[in-house]
Amino acid sequence: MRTDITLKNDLIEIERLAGLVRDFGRENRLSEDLVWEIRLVLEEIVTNIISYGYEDRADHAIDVNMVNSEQEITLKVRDDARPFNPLEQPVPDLEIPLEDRGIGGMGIHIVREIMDEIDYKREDNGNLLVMTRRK
Amino acid sequence: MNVTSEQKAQGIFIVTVAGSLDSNTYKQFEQKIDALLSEATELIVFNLEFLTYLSSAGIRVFLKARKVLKNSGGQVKFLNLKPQIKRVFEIINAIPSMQIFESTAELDRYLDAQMKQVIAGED
Repeated sequence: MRTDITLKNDLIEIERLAGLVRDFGRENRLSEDLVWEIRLVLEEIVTNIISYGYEDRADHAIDVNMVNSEQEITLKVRDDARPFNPLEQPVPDLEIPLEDRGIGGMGIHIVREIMDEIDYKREDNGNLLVMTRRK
Repeated sequence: MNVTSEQKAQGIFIVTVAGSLDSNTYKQFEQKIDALLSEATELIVFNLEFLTYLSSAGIRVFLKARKVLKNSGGQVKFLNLKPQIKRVFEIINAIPSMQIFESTAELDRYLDAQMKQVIAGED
């Protein structure tokens, strides 16, 4: 089963996103841990887009698509924001004590740890991120 | 998200954060913590028993509190980490440098010992 959501570029949407992920989990009988992971991954990605993606103050749409198949969960996020390839972000050095680490890149690191595959494409003046998590 | 703070002794606070600590709610949490950080705080224990969700936006507030208190000789500790919350901290490799109490009883023993030290120091 699949769920399609369109979010506005406002952090208040994070709450609605959480509810929709919960519904998706319930409809597909996913484990509580898996629902938590999907919510976390989507929040980190969408928050990055809303916080850093736009040069204007206009309204923008962020399309999120979740698909549950027998083997895996596929998450797609499409925006019309400035080019941003999370795969090109430096991996934070996790051996450095927390206090001395930069705070950037933590969200993307979490996404990379949880998802098994991440593909990035720049197309139609937007970013498309396709992420899969094997079950 | 809901935050309550209880003063255990001079400079020692237990901060209980309940609900979802995410990119939409962390600012409200940060404001409460900033208020504590501007006082002469020596120890903040974050009780995460009722925290239902945590993302990197929330973690940043914990890390900031730790950094600020460390610079003034204070400490941040954690109480009651549920498995999912623990997992998020594990992903960013925060666990080794975190001081975590497994139970309120363990925290109380620690605080009692601290109090005794303070009293002994005053003699």
